[in-house]
Amino acid sequence: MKLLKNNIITSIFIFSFILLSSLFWGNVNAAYVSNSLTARYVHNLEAESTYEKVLIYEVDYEQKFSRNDIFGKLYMNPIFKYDVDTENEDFSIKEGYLDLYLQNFDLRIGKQKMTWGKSDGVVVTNIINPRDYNVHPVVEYSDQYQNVEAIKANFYPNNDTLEIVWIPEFKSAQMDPNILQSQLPSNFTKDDSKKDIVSEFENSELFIRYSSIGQKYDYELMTGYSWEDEPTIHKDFINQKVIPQHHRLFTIGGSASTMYGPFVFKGEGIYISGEHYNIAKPILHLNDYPEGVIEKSEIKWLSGVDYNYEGYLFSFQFVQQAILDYSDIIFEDEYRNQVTFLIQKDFMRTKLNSEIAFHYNLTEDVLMTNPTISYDYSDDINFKVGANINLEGESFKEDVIYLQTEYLF
Amino acid sequence: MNKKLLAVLLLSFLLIFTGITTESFAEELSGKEIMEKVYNRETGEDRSANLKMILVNKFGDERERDIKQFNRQFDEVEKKIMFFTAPSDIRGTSFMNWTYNNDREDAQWIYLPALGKIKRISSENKNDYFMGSDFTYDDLGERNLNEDTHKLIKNEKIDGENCFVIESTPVDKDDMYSKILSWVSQDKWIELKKEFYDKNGNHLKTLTVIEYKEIDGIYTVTHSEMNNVQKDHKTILKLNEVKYNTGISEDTFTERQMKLGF
Repeated sequence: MKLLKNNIITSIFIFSFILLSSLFWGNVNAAYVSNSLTARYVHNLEAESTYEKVLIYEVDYEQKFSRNDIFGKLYMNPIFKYDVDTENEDFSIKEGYLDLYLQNFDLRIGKQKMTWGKSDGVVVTNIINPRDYNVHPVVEYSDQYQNVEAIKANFYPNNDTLEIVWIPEFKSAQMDPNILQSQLPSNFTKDDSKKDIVSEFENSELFIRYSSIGQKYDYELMTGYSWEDEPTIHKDFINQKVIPQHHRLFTIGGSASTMYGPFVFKGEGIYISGEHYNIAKPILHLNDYPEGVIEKSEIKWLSGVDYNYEGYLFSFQFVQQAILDYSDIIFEDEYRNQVTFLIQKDFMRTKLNSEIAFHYNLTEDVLMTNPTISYDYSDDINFKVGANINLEGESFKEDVIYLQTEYLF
Repeated sequence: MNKKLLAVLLLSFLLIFTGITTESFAEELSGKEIMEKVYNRETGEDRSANLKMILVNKFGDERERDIKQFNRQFDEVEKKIMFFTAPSDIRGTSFMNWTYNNDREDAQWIYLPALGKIKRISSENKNDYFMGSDFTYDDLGERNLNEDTHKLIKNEKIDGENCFVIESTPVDKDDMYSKILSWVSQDKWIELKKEFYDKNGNHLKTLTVIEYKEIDGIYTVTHSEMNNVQKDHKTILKLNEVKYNTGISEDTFTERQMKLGF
């Protein structure tokens, strides 16, 4: 009963599963099961030592149901991770949901990922799944995001998609402790009393998206009523505390992509109301801003192009964040710019895949690169080597190189 | 009376002979007319099939790809959607292509389950090889009749079937092929063999039809091999569970279906 009280979505998931299982009993199709075993060695290039040695066992389980014109699917993706050096074990359900497919309506209940927008590797309108900044190295792009427990309803007017996502319980971004520590002024202690969002209906999150694909262009329109994924650091100067706190955000935006010859152009933009920023010299503005925080709105936009030439894919993106009605007392710059650049090429009839990605934060002058080479020895065995390297500026993450073997069975 | 009867018989004979002669002249088709018959032969309004693609390298090592494919011809566009069902590392990936028979640019998208999103990709990749196979995107689709000039060069038998041998030369000088030779069955209007020549005029690859069947009244190639003679690599393509004119609905070719899969 405690579980049911504390976790609304888990309760809905369990009840839905029992209900649908009874409805579809006897109309169960064959299950699909796929297993993978991954051995990964990560080497710290700065300390010239082992960073991590892990074994990962992952299962993809899919069970379809049907009855008359209604179809359903249960999907589970449990993952078990074992650190060879520390002997730490970690078991989690990466994704686990129940689908219901009707004539012109789909429903998904459970832990899931939702990817919005047209950009790659940067966040503009893709704001549903919070980031996990502790993932290092980034081997798969999707690992940087945490899947969330949600109810997603899709409607299909004129073969377009109207998606409504309700997240009953807010999930915060997983912050890197090194970054949090850097934001802590000396002699201040951290007070997490306001960090958690109470799990109740008023505190749930809602996102809506309308998307369409067509011969000339694809587009998405989105809006959201959510919480800041990363908390704002409030300060209590009397008791010398920093108090991380999440704030409500209202967002509205969209994205589009179109093709011209070998080029695919893409763009995204979002308006965010309710963002909070730290003040650069809070002691000077204590009367107006006693917690050292100011509320403003922000816009964020992206422009990018993919270009195919002789089997090479070149992808370039420029992203800008701008604080509206900017005030000089804000710690952050009015404009924050970043660019990404990616080159991809397959060799040996797609057995060998190579990729190099660059991410340059122009505002903070930080340049990162992620080169990767993977080789499919067979359909069951894959080798991968890659690196996360800081080429310019200061990064909180160590430079690492990783080697990985994956066995699918 | 006898003279009249003789005249009628003579006239009838003349008419029949003239008709036969006209028919035989009509059969002396030009290269373009033959390829028109190939392009315009009955292929149904829609088709669904399971594809097995086997990639064989020079050492005999094989890799298999299983695909479920749906396509349907609309007024001015042919829509095709492919769902990759095996092996497990590409399972859930889908590819959709809209090919226009007018001046409009083709459109295509790919859905990668690991990313969880649909990406528009350039349709100017017709010369790229599909999923590491020996088939280019262009080989798998249907070349527009006017993309090449066609010349009938000879008649030849393949496995006892009379064939026209057509030499097709691309109009676009930048095309990856300098010419294509096609062996067209004279009564079924299907291509039983094709030879592709690279830009330098060297033999690049050969498509051989191993098996074809009449399914729902439509001649369908169910087993073929594309052999790249320069790379010593081949791709075997097998079709099964082929169904025509089942009324595949328009909403099969949508964002929803790409994500849901087959």
